[in-house]
Amino acid sequence: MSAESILRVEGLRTEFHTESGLVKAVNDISFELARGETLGLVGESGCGKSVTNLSILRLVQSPPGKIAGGKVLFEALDGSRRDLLAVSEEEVRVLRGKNISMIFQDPLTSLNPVLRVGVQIAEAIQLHHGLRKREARAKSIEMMRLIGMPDPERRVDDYPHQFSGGMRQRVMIAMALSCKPDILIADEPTTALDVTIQAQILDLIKSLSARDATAVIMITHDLGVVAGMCDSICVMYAGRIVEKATVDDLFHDPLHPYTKGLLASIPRVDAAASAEGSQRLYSIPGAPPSLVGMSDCCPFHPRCESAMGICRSRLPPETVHAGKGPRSVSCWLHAKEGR
Amino acid sequence: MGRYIAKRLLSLVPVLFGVSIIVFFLVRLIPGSALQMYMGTQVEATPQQMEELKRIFGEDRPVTVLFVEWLGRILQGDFGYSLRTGRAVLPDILSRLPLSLELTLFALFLALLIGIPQGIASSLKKNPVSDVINRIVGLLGLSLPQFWLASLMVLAFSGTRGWIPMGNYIKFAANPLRNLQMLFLPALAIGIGLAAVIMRYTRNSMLEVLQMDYIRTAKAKGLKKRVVILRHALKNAILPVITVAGFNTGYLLGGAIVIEEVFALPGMGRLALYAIYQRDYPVIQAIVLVIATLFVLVNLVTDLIYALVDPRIRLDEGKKQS
Repeated sequence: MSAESILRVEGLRTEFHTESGLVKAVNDISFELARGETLGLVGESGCGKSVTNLSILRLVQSPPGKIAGGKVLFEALDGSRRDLLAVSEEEVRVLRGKNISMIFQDPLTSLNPVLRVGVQIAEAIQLHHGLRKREARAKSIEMMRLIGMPDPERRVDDYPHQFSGGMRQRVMIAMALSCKPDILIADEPTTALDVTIQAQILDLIKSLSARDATAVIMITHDLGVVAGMCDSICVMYAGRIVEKATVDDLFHDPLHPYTKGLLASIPRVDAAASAEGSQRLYSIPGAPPSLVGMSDCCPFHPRCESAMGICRSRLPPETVHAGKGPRSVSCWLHAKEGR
Repeated sequence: MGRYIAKRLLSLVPVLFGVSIIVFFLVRLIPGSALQMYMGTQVEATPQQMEELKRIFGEDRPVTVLFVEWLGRILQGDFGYSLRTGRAVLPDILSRLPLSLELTLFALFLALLIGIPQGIASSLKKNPVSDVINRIVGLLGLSLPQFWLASLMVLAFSGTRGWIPMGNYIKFAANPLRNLQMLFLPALAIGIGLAAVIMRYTRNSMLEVLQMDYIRTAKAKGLKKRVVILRHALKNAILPVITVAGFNTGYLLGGAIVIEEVFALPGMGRLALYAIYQRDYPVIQAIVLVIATLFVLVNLVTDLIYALVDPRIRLDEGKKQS
């Protein structure tokens, strides 16, 4: 674990026991998050992004979910290091909301409909900072003002259904950042919002996390979000990380065929206009594989245009490559052995 | 809010009118008229005496005429006189109503007290054994007839002093503790069925709510499990339970009729039962009207509570949200 690293996930595996068999939703994932860094976790729906992050806080519903292995090393400001998967439930609970907090995709369903938003924001403050009810309320109003809520003194007593989608997500952000966490996990925070609101919410997350030097894990399927927000990126496919790189490296020189496919799938207004005019937008052929009973081969090989014999029989190892920052890829095209 | 309540209270008028029609003609369909029940088989009367009695019992005129006359008197607040005792109907009912209401509320209280915690406990699935026991108890509570359970209680506790009211009913105002002790078993007999219903609703509702995104949010905030369950889950899960409890409270009132007889309690239920035996039409009609009124009021209170718990419900239409 390097000096400025705050979170390190090693070989994380999360499985779900379903009627159709064992689903390996997160399959041997490792990554590292530096203090104050913004890390993007990118991939298609169902590739295990959300489960990875729920696993970090041990919030995976069990049953059917089960964290089958790995380590989640969290280093607090005082230098103490803990494996969140090994400590007691109570110890993790105290970290939740205080050191690591989360924002979820749909702010309407993520807020309790029968509790006033002020109460929902104040709860965490009261719990983690031991404030009295009135002090916590004042703090919630302050947080609501900070996230750009007009007239927070009055709106603090409103219920979630009385807010617009964007405002609800702002409330979620206020809630998540109220205790000044070390890490903020944002699980597709803009997916359920209008495009115009998306930019505002991303700006808000960006400015607030920069202010408190909060590290952010940004889960998204939107590469545009990643480009604007993140320092580095992990590309996930079928429960595995297939490529890790800084934003610059990944966008200018993608190594994994899946990453290349993702980048090629982004509509480009300028390219389409300049080139042959009405070219069809690229899409990766096929569909993501079922995660039930995955065999030990490259999970992407059925959809890969450069698939070779070895891709069908063996899992590609993670190989380190040169770049502006640390980067690695799991693909036989770039593996140094056994081609 | 005030407008809403006024509107709902106004709806009492057509409801009570409908109920009055049904009950007035229905009680007269029971074989054996009031006069026949009064005379029995032993007493001889002269034709003149019979004429006079028929006039008193109102059997000399068509039923429709009687109905209109009765309705007219009710509108003036006159519920008539008992054919049996000759006493005014309304004071008799009002003196017995408090006991029946107390019994009903006590039964509802016990049902909630048993049903909600059990429902929560079985939804948490910590202990599969207790879950199974809960469900068996729930099933029994639903399938045991109240009167049979009440009879068993009388059998089991008749030797224990103070728990079974043996015609020595003590009013709440006189001695609250003795009164509640006396009403505990009857209320339990009435409420146990509803307790089972409430338990199942609470359990299903909790299971559903615990899957919700906002429960995940609450956990992600680091809240203690107790707070997550009681503040975040229960407050949402209780909504359907309120509806069911309110809906069934009216039926509890009906259950009180049978149970009052088993435990020899001088409530409205017993009054109704004897009135039916003796075809005491004015008493039956008045009691049914009182119960119908209570039923409507209970439903109104249920809706008010529901709106109080769920901020998304606005009772006054046209009032725009901010």
